[in-house]
Amino acid sequence: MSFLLVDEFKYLYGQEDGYGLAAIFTPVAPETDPNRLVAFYRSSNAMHVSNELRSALIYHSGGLSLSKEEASAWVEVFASYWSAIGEILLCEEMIGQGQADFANWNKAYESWRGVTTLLQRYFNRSLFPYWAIPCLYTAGKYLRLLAIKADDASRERSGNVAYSGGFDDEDIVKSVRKMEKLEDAARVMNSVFGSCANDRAPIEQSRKWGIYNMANLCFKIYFQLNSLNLCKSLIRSVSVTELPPLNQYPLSHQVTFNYYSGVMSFIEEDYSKAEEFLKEAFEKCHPQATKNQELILTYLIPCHILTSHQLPTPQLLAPFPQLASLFLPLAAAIKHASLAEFDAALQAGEPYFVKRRIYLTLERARDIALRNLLRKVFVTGGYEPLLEGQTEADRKRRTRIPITEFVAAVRLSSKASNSGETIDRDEVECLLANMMYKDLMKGYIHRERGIVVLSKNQPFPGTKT
Amino acid sequence: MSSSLTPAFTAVQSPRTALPMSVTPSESTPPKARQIFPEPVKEYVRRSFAEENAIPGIDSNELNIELKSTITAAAESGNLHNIDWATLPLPQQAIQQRRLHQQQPWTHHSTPSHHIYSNSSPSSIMPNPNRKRSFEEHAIANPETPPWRKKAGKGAFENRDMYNNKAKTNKEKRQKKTMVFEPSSKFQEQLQNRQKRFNLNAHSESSSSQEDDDDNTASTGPVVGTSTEIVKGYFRLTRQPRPNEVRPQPVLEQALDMVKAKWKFNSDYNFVCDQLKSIRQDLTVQRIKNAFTVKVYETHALIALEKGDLGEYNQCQTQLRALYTLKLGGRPSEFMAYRILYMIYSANRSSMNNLLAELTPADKEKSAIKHALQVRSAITFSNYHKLFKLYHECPNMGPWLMDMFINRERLRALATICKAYNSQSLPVAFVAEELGFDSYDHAAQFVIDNGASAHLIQQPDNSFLLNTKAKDIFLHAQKAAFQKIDIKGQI
Repeated sequence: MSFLLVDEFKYLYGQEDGYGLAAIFTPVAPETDPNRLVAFYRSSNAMHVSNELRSALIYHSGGLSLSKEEASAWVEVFASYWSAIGEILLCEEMIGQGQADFANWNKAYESWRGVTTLLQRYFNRSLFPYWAIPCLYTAGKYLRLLAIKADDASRERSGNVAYSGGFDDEDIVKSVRKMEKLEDAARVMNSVFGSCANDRAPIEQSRKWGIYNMANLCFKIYFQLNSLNLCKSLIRSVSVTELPPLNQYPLSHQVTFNYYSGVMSFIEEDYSKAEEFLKEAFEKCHPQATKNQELILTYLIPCHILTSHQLPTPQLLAPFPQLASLFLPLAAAIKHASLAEFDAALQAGEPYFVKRRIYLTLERARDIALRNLLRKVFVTGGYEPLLEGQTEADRKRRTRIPITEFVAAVRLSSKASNSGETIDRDEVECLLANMMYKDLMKGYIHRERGIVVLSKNQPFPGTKT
Repeated sequence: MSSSLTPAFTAVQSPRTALPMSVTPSESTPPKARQIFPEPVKEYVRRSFAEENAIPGIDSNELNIELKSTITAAAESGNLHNIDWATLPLPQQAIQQRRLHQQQPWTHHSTPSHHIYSNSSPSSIMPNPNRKRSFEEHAIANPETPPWRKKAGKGAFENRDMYNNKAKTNKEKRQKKTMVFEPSSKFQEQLQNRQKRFNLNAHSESSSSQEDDDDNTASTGPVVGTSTEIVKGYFRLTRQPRPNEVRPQPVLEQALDMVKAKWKFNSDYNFVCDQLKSIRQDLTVQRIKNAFTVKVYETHALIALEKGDLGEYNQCQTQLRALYTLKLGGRPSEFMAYRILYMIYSANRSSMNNLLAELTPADKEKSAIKHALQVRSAITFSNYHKLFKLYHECPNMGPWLMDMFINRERLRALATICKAYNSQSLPVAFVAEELGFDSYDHAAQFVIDNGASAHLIQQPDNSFLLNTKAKDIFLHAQKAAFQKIDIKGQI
């Protein structure tokens, strides 16, 4: 009886290869060795696995000198990994036999949860060396995936809605779309995050080097749970923990953390802060990781439009056809100052925009399209007639514009979108008032005379007039 | 209807009662099978399937459904022992009858006894001066709601129809259910065996009052109520209720009518809320999920809304949201519109985003939802002109919700107007019109209430002008208004 995996473990441990070690404790067989899990699982049985592992790891240590305590701890981890693999293989077998209904993903999740908490416990006791922390990354990564599988399976079994069973339930419906296991995974990962954050070891040997990756795993779960409050408190915990500067961490940790922080700021409507985070993430993102770049840009572009009124160019979006097809029509509409075009483009992209939570932000860009339209009225209005003694250089644009001119423009620009419904004058007056309130247009409305008096200096701040 | 899907009771029910293993529900034994059927029922089943009673054109499948629904309805309404099974038309006869009278709507007989409240003179209701409709006006005006002329106490027959309709919607479930009533002799044998084993599940009227103790009621599935009390206060249960403490659906229907009448009569919210909660509880313990359940929650939601009880309103909304997914009827689009309006009030952008994700293109065409979405859009762009136009066109009970945020928007609009019409004095009439006030006085009062009375200038003709220097006051008030958003029980 031999455990090839244990031999590999001994070798990698000797090399202090944390990521190598992490690759051992995975519930997915590597492409190079598709039978690894099955082979490992079949090489023992429930009755003997612990003893056999003990023998392989301790009595035939192969020159590896682990403390007795640490060795038994690894034996425990290996044994729980062994039984988790058993559950997972069983599920896969059921699916292979076309009996997906009988795959017990709950059990698979629970057993993997056992592996994760065991690892966490021994890291907490500092029995395991700091460089092995990637083992927790892998454990956490698959904990989330298995939780999702378990929740999907139970939703398939019992539907989206859980009904009351006990007499002490107040109402007929107990819960809607509950994600029980994912919520549980969130608790586990939060505590793993805590054990990284609270490590008091000197920084060279601290689990604090794992904190951003753990935070990223938590973010992933929290976003899926739609629990923004948990995200907020996570960001707070990171910010109060004494840590080395973010740029000393692996790039992948940095990019993901900046991305999630950016999305959080975005959701909290702090667009300039969001832009900062997202820009950082975009610049450091691996050049080949187009999917990630696309995700970052999904939030970065709306931020940039709102903060600087600048539109994305076709060149920027060339590598991302989906983004191009959604954002370029919007950008064109803003440029053409066409409200109808804008509404159409926003509506066309609505499913995607809503899914990505950017719809409510993007729709605000309509104000920029409107501003451009009003400015067109101003520019088309031409110049005040020259007074006697004035030269061409003194020519001033007309700044007193009848409201009716704006009304005509708004009607023209939005007529396609409002079929049958005409915009009345009072509504345009209201829109003008809002432009002034938001400082997109400087001046005031003279109610009695029915004119807009624009500021002589920069009536449309930020534009070239 | 889904009682056949969900196990009748969860394993953890009463901590101090350990169930014998044999009673533990398993997926292979649909809960209904444990019911003890009185001999007349069994005889009825036998007669239904007897060859001499067969009617050509009605196949056994249809027969199964009909039979199943009749018996279930009887069992759930507690009438298993009250119905004279010997004279009850056989299912095939009932089907035939229904086919013959398909054009004629089923007419229900009313029991007048419980209508002491509903005939209260209309003059006792305050005529509503503003656009808001009170709950009962709304209920009557809404064509989707059957007016409460509809009387309760119809017994098994209405229930049977109801179950029949539901059965049609779900073929699979239907077949699963009817399996139980397979008329084979083997089935009969099994049934009897089961009856012996599960003797403790008996719900016969004679036994319910005397022999019921906590132990055997705790081990049953959904309670089948036998109480006939129309007025029943709400108590939080600490044990499985006895059947004689729970009201079957026909009684609950009467109770709901009574509650509505009472609300119309004197708007005693404490009483009404308490009664509705107890109706909800009775529905829950009997696991009744049908059109009536939806009606109860809709009623409670609207009354709570009228009263401004947001906690209760939200609870009902949450329940309704799940109930609507079962397609039991009701007014899903109307309540979706309420949810949108509530979301505007709570200014919760991420929930609003989730809600938008939920809407289908067909939803967006529904007038109430369309209106609510237009309100949302108008507020996004601070388009106060459009907003107040929409405010006056708000359908159903929406104005009660819009009122929760309308003053906030008025303050913002006032701040905007003051800035845009800088250094002018505006006629209050203009403000009143733009901001949807019922009268100039209301507009002036609003300005005063927000501490800007110093900026009102009285004219010789007794009209008022508003000085736009009041801008900062409105800005300040608006910020304060946005801060205090009640989020209890939020959905």
